[in-house]
Amino acid sequence: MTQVLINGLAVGGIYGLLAVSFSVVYGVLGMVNFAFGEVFMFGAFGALVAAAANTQIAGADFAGPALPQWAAIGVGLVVGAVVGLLVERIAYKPLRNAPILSMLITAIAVSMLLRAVGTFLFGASQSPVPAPDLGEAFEVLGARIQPIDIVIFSVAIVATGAFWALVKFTPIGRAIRATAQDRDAARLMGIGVDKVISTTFVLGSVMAALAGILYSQKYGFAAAGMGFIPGLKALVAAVLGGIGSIPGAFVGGLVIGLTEELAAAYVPEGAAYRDVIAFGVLVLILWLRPQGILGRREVQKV
Amino acid sequence: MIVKSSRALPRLTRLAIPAVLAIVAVLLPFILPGDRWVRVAALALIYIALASGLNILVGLTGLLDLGFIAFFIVGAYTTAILTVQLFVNQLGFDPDTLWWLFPISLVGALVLAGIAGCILGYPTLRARGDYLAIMTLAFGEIVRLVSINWIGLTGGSVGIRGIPPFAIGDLELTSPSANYYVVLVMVVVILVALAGVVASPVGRAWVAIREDELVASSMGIRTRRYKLLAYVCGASIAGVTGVFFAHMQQFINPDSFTLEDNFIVLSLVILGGAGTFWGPVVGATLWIFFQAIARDWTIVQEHPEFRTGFLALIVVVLMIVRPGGIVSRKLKLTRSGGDPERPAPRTAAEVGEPDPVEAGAPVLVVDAVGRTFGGLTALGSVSFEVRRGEILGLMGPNGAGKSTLLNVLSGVTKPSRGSITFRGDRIDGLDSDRVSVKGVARTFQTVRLFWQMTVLENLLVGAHERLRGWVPAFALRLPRHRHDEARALTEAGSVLEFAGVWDERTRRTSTLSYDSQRRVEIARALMTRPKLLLLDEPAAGMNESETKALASLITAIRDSGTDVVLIEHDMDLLMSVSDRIVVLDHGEVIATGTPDEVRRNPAVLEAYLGSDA
Repeated sequence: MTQVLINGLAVGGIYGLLAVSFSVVYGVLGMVNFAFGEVFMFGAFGALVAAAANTQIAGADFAGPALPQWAAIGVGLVVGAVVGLLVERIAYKPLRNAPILSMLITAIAVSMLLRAVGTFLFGASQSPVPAPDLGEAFEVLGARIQPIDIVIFSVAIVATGAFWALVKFTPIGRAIRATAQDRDAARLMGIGVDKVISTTFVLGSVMAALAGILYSQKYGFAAAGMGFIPGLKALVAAVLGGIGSIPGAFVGGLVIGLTEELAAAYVPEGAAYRDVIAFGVLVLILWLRPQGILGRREVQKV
Repeated sequence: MIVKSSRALPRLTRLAIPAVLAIVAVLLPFILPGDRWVRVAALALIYIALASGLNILVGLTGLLDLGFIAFFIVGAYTTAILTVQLFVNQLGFDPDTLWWLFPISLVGALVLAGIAGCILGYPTLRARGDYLAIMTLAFGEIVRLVSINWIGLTGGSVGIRGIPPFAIGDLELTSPSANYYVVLVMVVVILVALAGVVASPVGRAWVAIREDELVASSMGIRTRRYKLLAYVCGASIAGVTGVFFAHMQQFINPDSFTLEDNFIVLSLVILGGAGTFWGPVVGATLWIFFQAIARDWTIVQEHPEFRTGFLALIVVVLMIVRPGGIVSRKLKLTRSGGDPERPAPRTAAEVGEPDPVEAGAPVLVVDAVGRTFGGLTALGSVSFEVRRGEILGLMGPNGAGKSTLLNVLSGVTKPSRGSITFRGDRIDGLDSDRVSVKGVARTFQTVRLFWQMTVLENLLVGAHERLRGWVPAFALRLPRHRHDEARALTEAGSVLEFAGVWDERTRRTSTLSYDSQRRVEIARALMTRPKLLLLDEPAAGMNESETKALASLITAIRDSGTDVVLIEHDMDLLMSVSDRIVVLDHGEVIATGTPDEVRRNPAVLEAYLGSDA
């Protein structure tokens, strides 16, 4: 039981980080940036390539920089941030005033495009990710605990906390919140709205890339399609927590992670239907509370 | 004579495109080099059907569905399970004798996919668009995962083999050309039915919802129901297509439907032109043939991901450069162009039976109506009545609660307390579409037309309640509906002439002058045959002569038998046309009376000019 819970918290932490990315960009731009699933993937590959001694990119062999683990993670985060920024500048910026449907379609297309690029660069099959050296699994209350799970959960909670504090207490955070509330009013107050949106994308992408790195370390692989299912679950988490809210998104991630691990462990055939359960939760929520668990109803204006 | 030919010509060009396409489609197996290309053509037809189905959702109604393939899966597995798992494996039938089962499979798929559409569509009644997109994605994954994991029923990842080919009696239609023609018949039937539905009240309701949901409901359209209907129609098309696909392939497994197919079908709709009729057809044809050609290229053979990647790139660029897609022909939402001769001006009210209510008797009774938003009281306790045969002016300074009152009267917002009675029926608490059907129509403070429609199409939306009917009847193009529609168009012509904008009838509303837009909006409201018309600042933004002309239009509306409530900031207009005036301030009625009485009322003067005046 403890084992399942710890595992669930670690998985949930990863979903939570990614959910925060979706949530904060949704808050500012009012759109679901499906491409965060691919930023997640690029982050993981960035760290993997940076840590490797030799590597294969687009079928050709390269000597990798073989950076130490902490520096490789930094590279992964930067790669994620750059990808996120480019996507925002090239694909979304021209659509600033387009209908929401166009933005969503672009978002899904960008996601597919990035996945194709990922497949081209890193191949169609999974690349193994060496497990970080964190020591042996240890026993607590009769349960075997993997140290990586503890690390993942701690990193996730610290990163989310830092991100939340940034948005809450710093000037750029205030600009982000102002833009989220009323873009036009923020612009009139002299806030460089485009810059704020780009910053939000970069910050969100760093969170997504971090989630991807942690994910690849936990499961020991990286692959071009690795971001899709976690991305979808993170979206479920963000909706669960009321999209736009940072703590809500993170808690939503934990709930999803715990639910699916518990289901996989205790529901008959639960492992096969693990993903169905998370998505079933979403469908159920939107049936019962279309505005999300913590979301508010939007009032239409005439 | 221009008028005469303009009537005959569109009919010719309208039939020309489908005719040419049909000839090409029939000859295609003879033109194409070899069976491989005939198979490609058949696949293109499958994608044409899917894209056309998705277009109902994305293009016409403006609902994003990222899990559309789920309906296709439901259809394909329905026939596979029914035919192979049940009849062959369980009941021991010979698969070669099961051709009679095909129509039953079709009906089964239609029903099951329709139910799936309902399940998925239900939350759209309330959920926001982006939540919905996520949900459709999740729903699509659920269906796919179930099809992989429910091994007993679906054969798991191996799938179901031995699905019998198309057959008529003993004649098996297994050749690629035969398959192609069978699927072609399906596509033609789908497109013909779809064209019938699009150019009907159903199609117009869908587009109206996409354009402006609130206005659509103020025209008497039950918007939730029509959104759900869009899901059911789209899902049914996908389900039927799935049945044909399964029999064409003779096997299905989860690899037949990847996650990317959802995106591909969506892209084809966008590529061809969402919300157009031929867009999905063009997009699907171009892409499937391009893909088949590209398959021979070494670079694509080495990197199959380039195919989806390239399509994704096209979509990203397209959304920036040409969001409308390749086909730019606007959808025709009615099949006839209206009468070419200028009709006599007449409002819809004059068409109906004589009004049983005597002049001067109250028709709308507003009793102690209040509305609070959070802690803010927009309306305290408002009571007044509108009498038969009058124009009631509603005035008050900014923030007095006029617009809230109008929204409450028209069902856009519900009152917090009090009652509203219209001709003996309580209408408070009704949705705005029901209020409209009761005979209360409205216009909006800023003009809200369906900008992608022509003037006549806008007016036909106003006639929705009289024209609506059963979807299969529209799909079959029953003559009764054609006559109804022709009659409504004649009526629309008269109403447009009454409103002074008959000359603009075939123009798109986005190209009209401001004054004409206002008049078209009033005409559209009159098309609902209202007994009471609520006008929300109709003269805003008009110059003096336009305002004068508007005054005579408003008077003419009253004289033709429709009572009017007029909110207006232009005092000259309000004082000159109103029979009585109700003055609001701070959410309360402070004065009621004839224009002269109101003008001299000290409370009114104080509200407008301050206590020193």
